[in-house]
Amino acid sequence: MTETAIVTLVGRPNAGKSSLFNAVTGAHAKVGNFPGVTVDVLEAQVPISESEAVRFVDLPGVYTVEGDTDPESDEGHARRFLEELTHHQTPAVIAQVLDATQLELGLRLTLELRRRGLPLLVLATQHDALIAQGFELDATGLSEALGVPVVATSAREATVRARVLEVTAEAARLKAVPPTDSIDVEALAKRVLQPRVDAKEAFARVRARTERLDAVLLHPLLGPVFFLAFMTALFAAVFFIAEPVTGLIDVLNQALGARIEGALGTGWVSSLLVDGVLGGAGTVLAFLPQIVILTVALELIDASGYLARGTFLVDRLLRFAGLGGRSFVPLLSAHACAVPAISSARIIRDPGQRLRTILVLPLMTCSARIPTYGLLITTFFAAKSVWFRGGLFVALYFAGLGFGLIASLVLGRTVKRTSQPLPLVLELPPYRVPQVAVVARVGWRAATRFVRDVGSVILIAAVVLWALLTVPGPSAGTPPPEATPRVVAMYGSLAASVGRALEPVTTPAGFDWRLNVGLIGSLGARELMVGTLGVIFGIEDTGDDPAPLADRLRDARRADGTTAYGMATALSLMVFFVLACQCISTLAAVRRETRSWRWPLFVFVYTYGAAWVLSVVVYQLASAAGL
Amino acid sequence: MRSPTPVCWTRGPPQRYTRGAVTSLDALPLHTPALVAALHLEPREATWLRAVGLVEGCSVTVLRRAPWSGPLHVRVAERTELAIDRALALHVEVSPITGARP
Repeated sequence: MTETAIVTLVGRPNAGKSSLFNAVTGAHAKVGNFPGVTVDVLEAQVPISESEAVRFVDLPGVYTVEGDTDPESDEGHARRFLEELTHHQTPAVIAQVLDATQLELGLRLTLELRRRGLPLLVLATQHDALIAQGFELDATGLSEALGVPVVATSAREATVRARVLEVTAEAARLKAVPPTDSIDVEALAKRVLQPRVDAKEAFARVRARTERLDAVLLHPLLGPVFFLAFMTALFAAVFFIAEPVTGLIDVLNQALGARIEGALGTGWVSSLLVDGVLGGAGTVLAFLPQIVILTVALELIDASGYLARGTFLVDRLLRFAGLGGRSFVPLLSAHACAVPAISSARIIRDPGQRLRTILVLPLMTCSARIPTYGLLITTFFAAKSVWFRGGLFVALYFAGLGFGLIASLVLGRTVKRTSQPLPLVLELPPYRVPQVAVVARVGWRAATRFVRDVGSVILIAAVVLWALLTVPGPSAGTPPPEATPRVVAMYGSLAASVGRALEPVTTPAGFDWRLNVGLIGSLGARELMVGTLGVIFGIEDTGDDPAPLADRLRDARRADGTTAYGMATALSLMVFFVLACQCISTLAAVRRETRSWRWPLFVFVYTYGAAWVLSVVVYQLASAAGL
Repeated sequence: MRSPTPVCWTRGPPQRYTRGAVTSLDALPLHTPALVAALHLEPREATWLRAVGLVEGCSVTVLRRAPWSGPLHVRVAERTELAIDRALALHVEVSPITGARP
């Protein structure tokens, strides 16, 4: 299929760019990386005829592409991208996504984009919101004044895809507008915005709704209380809603394991399938619902306009910690995954705040930690009430956030000092009802990505670990009494030897060789911890039916026959997971954003160092308290 | 990444003030409409502020102040709402609209 044009969507933040991109490209978007431009952008090829297609590219939201912009900010990246486009072989077109309810501001960017020397078209979105405010956009008048095609539309409109494709089909034939004439944007906006009969009442109605919500959500006392309650409820929901679903998947896993053992016996093929594949990858798959719930909730917060309100509320607190209001967006999105959050730190204009944010983002509780937290809580705190378990789960989230703020405070006063940080200026968009299709797509993308990871990286790692637990190592450990030959072989395996070699360092934190193997297995990706433990304790399980991993962990014994793990071990391991940056992708993202190996190395050393020290402290204190 | 070199973005009076008909945005009483008279900022910051929507001559109203010296919530040109750092608002000179009702 011939690519006739590259259509790059450019617009101010909250202009509705992502919704429009989703509406036009459907589910085919993928993260692309343009040669010569160090920015990840969403892109998708959309057919416009049987033999021709247009490539759509979605750039981050920007306020300006001129002026003295920091090259590492979103504006700097966008500007470099547009410069690169002028040298591209395929005809390139800028499609400005302009929020019709913020016409005058959007038009300032239009004038800047006209000066880029590339063909331009304007997609005026939020037209339904504009009508609700009592106005209509004269698209023809605006098109004549600007000398570029203008489409007034809304991402919710059924025909939006067809209308955008119709105008972009002609995109390759568009010519750049010579930016000779100056335009008074204020006067132009007034001219093309035509008030309807009920304009005043409609506008007042929309404004009153926003004001009513803001009166509560931004109230000096109620606002922070609501915000804290909301975040607590969100994290608790991840635990309470997903727990029964996770349990169900776990039961299915066990049933399937029993069937395999029934059909194949207890030979090595059966062990590979039950202990390696099901015990490793299958156990991790049970945490899919929690990850989807969290991702969808964060998307809802963003799309509704509440994210910006949160920024307003926490700016002072973050500033005290050496960050800023704008750090809030990456800090929150890191609760799904730190990798895109590190890229999103480009919205922070102050270089010092941006660097400190990047350095503490790995401490936020990403979804890859959920499987380990879930397993430890259900295993070692099963006797406690469900409210206690939910509370502990929420506390782990806030622990990550708390440690992040402390780390930033320390970094700001030691490693990277700040003189006069750039001040906060942030748009507070009107409240909007999120689009179901867009939110569903985000959830679907998170689910498929997680399943793909489980089916590839985690599956391979589980099988490799299963193999390493069967290959003999240099030292033979002491297996528990009455161990089967298979367990005896595992105690003398290569993986067990490595785990035992680390015991002098990890014993003060309560970790034995089995947990050490889990920690090594999860060095590159922390979600591998549960899978690794699934393999180890799957092999150790000598029962007739495969027992859930939680039961196996509770029943685990030391060589002398005493219970291996208790609440003290669980708390110590949780602290380790809160702090340690067990994620190669995160370190690679830090390297990419800071363009230095120094900072990813720094993150690795400081997070592991802090994790070990605090794990030892917690284990010793908890043991002394008799836990 | 560029090191966080000291950035100076301010220019002009560093504290809250009211002089005759003009005042700093930070000192503007809540819900009092005013016009932006001048931005006493380095060109880079002034350009940024204009790009976001706060331009000389546009109307501005302070809707609320976040607690503990947090940012201001302001409405600009009737349609845009912004969160602005109080330290920045000190350098935005505004002129209250005479006769306007809060």
